[in-house]
Amino acid sequence: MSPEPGLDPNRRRPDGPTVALFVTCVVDQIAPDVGVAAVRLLEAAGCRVEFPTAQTCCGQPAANAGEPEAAGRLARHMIDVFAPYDAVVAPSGSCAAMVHHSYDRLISGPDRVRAEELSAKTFELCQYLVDELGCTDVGARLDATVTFHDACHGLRNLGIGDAPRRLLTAAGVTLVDLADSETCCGFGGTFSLEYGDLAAALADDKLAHASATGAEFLASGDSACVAHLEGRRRRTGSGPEPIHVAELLARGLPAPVSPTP
Amino acid sequence: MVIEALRAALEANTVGVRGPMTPAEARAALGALDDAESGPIAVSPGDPLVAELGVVEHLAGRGADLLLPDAPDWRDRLPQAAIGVTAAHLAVADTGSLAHICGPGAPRAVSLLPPVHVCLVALETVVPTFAEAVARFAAEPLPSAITWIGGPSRTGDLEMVTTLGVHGPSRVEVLLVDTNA
Amino acid sequence: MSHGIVTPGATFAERSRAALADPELQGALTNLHRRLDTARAVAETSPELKDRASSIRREVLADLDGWLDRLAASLERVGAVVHRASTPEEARSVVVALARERGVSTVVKSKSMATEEIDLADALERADIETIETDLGEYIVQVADERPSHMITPAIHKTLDTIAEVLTTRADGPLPTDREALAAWTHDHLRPAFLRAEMGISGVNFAAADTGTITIVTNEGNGRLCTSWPRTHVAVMPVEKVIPRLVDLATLLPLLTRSATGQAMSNYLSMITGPRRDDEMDGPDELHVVFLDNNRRALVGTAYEDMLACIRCGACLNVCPVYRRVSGHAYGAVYSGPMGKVLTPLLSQGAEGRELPHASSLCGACTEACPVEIPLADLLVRLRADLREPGVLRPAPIATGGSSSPESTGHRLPGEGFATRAAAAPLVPQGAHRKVGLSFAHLSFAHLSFAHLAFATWSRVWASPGGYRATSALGRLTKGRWARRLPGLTGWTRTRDLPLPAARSFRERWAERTNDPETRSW
Repeated sequence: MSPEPGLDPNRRRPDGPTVALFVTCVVDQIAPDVGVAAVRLLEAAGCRVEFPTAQTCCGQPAANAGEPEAAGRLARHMIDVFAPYDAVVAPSGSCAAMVHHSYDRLISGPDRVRAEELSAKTFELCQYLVDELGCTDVGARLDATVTFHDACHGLRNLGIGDAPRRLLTAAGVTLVDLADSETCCGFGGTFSLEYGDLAAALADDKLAHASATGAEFLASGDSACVAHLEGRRRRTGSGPEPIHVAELLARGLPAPVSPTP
Repeated sequence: MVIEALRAALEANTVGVRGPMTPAEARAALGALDDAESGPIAVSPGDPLVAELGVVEHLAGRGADLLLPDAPDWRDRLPQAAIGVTAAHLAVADTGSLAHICGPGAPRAVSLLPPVHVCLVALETVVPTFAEAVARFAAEPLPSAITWIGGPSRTGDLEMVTTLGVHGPSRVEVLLVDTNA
Repeated sequence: MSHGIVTPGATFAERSRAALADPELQGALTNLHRRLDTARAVAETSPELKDRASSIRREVLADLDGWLDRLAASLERVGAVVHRASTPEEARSVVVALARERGVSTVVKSKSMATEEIDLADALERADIETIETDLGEYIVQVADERPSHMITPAIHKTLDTIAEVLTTRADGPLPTDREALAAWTHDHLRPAFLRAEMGISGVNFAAADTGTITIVTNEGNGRLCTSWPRTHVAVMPVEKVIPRLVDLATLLPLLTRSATGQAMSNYLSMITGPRRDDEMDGPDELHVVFLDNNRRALVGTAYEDMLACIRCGACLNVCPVYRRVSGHAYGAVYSGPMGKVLTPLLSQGAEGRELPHASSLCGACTEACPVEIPLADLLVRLRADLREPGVLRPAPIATGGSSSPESTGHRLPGEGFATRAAAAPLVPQGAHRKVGLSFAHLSFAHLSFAHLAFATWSRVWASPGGYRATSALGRLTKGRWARRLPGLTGWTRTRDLPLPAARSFRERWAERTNDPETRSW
C-alpha cells in the first residue's frame, strides 16, 4: 500500500488497539519531540493514538515535595481525563509509576476505585510496546552505538526491565552495557534544586560511565533525567549525547514524506 | 557430602581442616601442637568430645603445660595460654559454623583468648543447615551461652579488605574425628 | 564527642558539599562498591528468607508491647535483670548507676548503634568511668573523636593511611600503613582493657521472647570478649529488636549478615541466655538488659510503623547514591543513610533531622535493597508532608478497618513491595485540614510554607486545562533555549544548563497535525 501523499509513511492504517497518549507536562512543554516520537512509534506499531487535550500533569512534583493535597487535585483531574480509555501510554517511567504506585493512596473515598482502574491501564511507552503489544521491531533502523541508563521509577516501581533495550537492539543499534546503569542520575525532582552539587556529582558519575562505553548516545526513558544529564554535559563538555529512547528510535523510522504542493 | 561442604565452608574462612581421623590420630595431632608453641595449652574438658577422647589425660601424660578451668589461677593464666582446645557441640555445613555450648568445665574464653584455637568436631555432629542447628538447640533447655565460630577473628574496617587476627584467635584448626573408627 | 542525635549548625547541603570536595573521603568511598550487590544477592538467591523475615518483623509489630512483656518475663526467668527506659536520659542513668554501684572503673563496649543514640560513652566518661570502644572501626573513630559514619563499618570514611595516623596517637611509636600490623597492634593494645574491665556493654541484634536469649554478632570477637570476661554485662536493646522465637534466628541472622556484608554468617555469634550459671569459670555474674524506647513504641499503628522492622544491616546505605557519594557524617546524625533520614526525625519527634527527608533523589534503591521490605522511599515522601508543619512530629494512628483489605496486607505485589497496613495508609490524612500560609515563627521553614502555597496554587491552576494552557504560553518567550543562569533556580543553574519551554508545545504540534491532514508531517 503506497503512502498517501502528505502523510507519514509510518502511520499505516491502525490495526492495533487505541491508546490514549499521556504526554506528561515535561515532554509537552520542554521536550515535545519526545511526544512526537512516542506517537510515531505507537503508530508504527499499529496503534491508533488519541490525545485527550484536557490532560495536564500527574501530580508527581507535588507528591514528591510532600504536598499530597495538591497532588490529589491533579490526580483526580487525570483520572477524569483518562477514564474513557482502555490503555494510557506515557513516554515517562516516573509519570506512569506515579499513577501506579501512589494514586490509590492519594485518593480516598469512592474515587479510589477509579484510581485503581487507571493504575491498571497505565503504561510506560517501551513497556507497552514490548510487554503489552509484543512488538520489539517497530520498523526503526539505526546505525548507532548506544548505552542505556535505567531511570529509577520506571525500573523500581514499574519493573521496566529490558523492554527499552530490546527495542534498541531490534533497531540494529549496538548496545553497550553501562556500568552502574541502575544508579540514580541525580535528578530526583526538587532534590536537584536543593542539593544541586550532589545532583551534579551524580550526573558526572553517570556521564563518566557513559563516556567509558564509547557510545554515541546515552539513552534513557525519562525526559527529566535527559534534561538533567544534558544540562550538566553542556557545562562540563564530557559524555555522549543524552537522549530519550523514544526520540532516538524515532530517528530510525523512515522519514516523513513532505507534502506535495 | 555434608562433611565436604563443611570443610569447604571452613576453608573459605581460613580455617585449617584436618581429617577425618581416628581418636588416636586426633590425640596425636593435639600432642604435636604443643611442641611448636610457647605457653600453656588451655583445654575445655567439659566439652563431651574432649572428655570422650581423653584429651586431658593424653596431654598430661606427655607432660604438656595444661591449663584447666578448675585451676585456682585459671583467670590469671588464661591470657598467657598459647592454644585453646575445645570441641564443638554441632558444626554447620552451610554457614561453616562451629557451635560451642558453654558450661561447667567449658568456658567461653578458651576459644577466644589464646591466639590459636583447635576445635574437635565429631563427624556425627555435623548438620547441613544453620536452621537445623538452631532447631536442635531450641528443642532443649538452653545453656547460658552458645558461641558460634566461623574462623579466625577478622575485620573489614581497614578499607574493607578482610584482615585476620583482631581480638580473637588469628589461627583456627579443626580436627574432624570419626569417633566410630 | 557526640551530643544528641544531630550535629547542630551546618546543613546537609553544606556538609555534603564539603564531603564532595574531600578527596580522601571520595577515595575511601570507592571501597563501598564491594557491598553494592549484597542485597540483590539475597533477593535473588533467598527470596523465601526475605519473605519470612519480613513476616516475622511484622508479627512483632502487630503486638510490640506484648512481645516485650514476654521477653521481659523470659529474661527474668533466666536470671537477667530488665530495665525499661523511655528516654535516652533514663537509659544513661540506669547504666551509669549500675556502673557506679559496682565500683566500675573501666567499661569495654562492643559496637552498638543504640548506645551511640543515647550518647552512653559520653555519659560514662563524665562519671569518670573509662569507656573503651573495642570494635576496631569504633575504636578508630573514638580516638579520632568522631561519630561512626556507617553502622556496619564505622570508619568507612577513612583510608588506611589515616587510620595508621590515628592509631599512632595511642601507640608507643609510629604504626606502619599495613593491615596485618594494625590489626595485631589493636589486638595487643586493647587486650589489657578487656581483661581489667569490670563491665562490658553491648547492643543486641535480636532478643528471642520465648527463651530470653539475646544474640550478638561480630567478626572481630570483641563482642564475645565484652560479654565473657567482665563481671557485669549490660545489653542496650532498642525495643524493636525483640523477635518471637529462638528459631526465628535461623531466618533473621543469615539475612542480616548477608545483607550487611555478603557473609553467610558473621564470624562470631553469641547466643546468651542469662548470666553465667554456677560452676562456670567465665561469663558475667550479672546480665542487665535495658529496653530502650525513645519514641519507638509511639510509631506502632502509624504509617511509619514499618520503620521498626529495621534489622540494622546497612544495605540501604550501601546502595544509596547519596550516601555513597558523601558518607555518614554529612547527615549529622547518629543514623545515616536512608534509614537514618527516616528514623532521625521520627525518634526526635521532629526536633532533629527535619531537612534529612529532603536530601534524597527518591530513586528507591533503598526500598529495593531492604531485606525486610521497609518502603523507605515512601516514608521519606510521607515525612516531607508531615514535616511541613513546624513543631512536634506525632504521627497519627492509621484508621482501622480502612482501605487495606486483609488480603492486600502482608503480601508482595509484583514490582510494588510489601503491602503492609502502614504502607497502604492514605497519603492525605482523612478529615485533616491543613493551614496554608506563611509561618513567621519559624523563618527557616518559611520557604517550605511558601512552597506549600505555591503548590496549592499551581495544582489548582493545572487541574484546569485552561489554566495549564495559559501557563504553557511561556514557551513563546523562551523558545526552547537553554538557560545558563536563572534567578530563583540557581540551585540548578549553578551546575547545569536548564532547558526552557519549547516554542511550540507538543499539544500545539498535535493540534496542527490533527487539524490539517494535508500538511501533517509526522
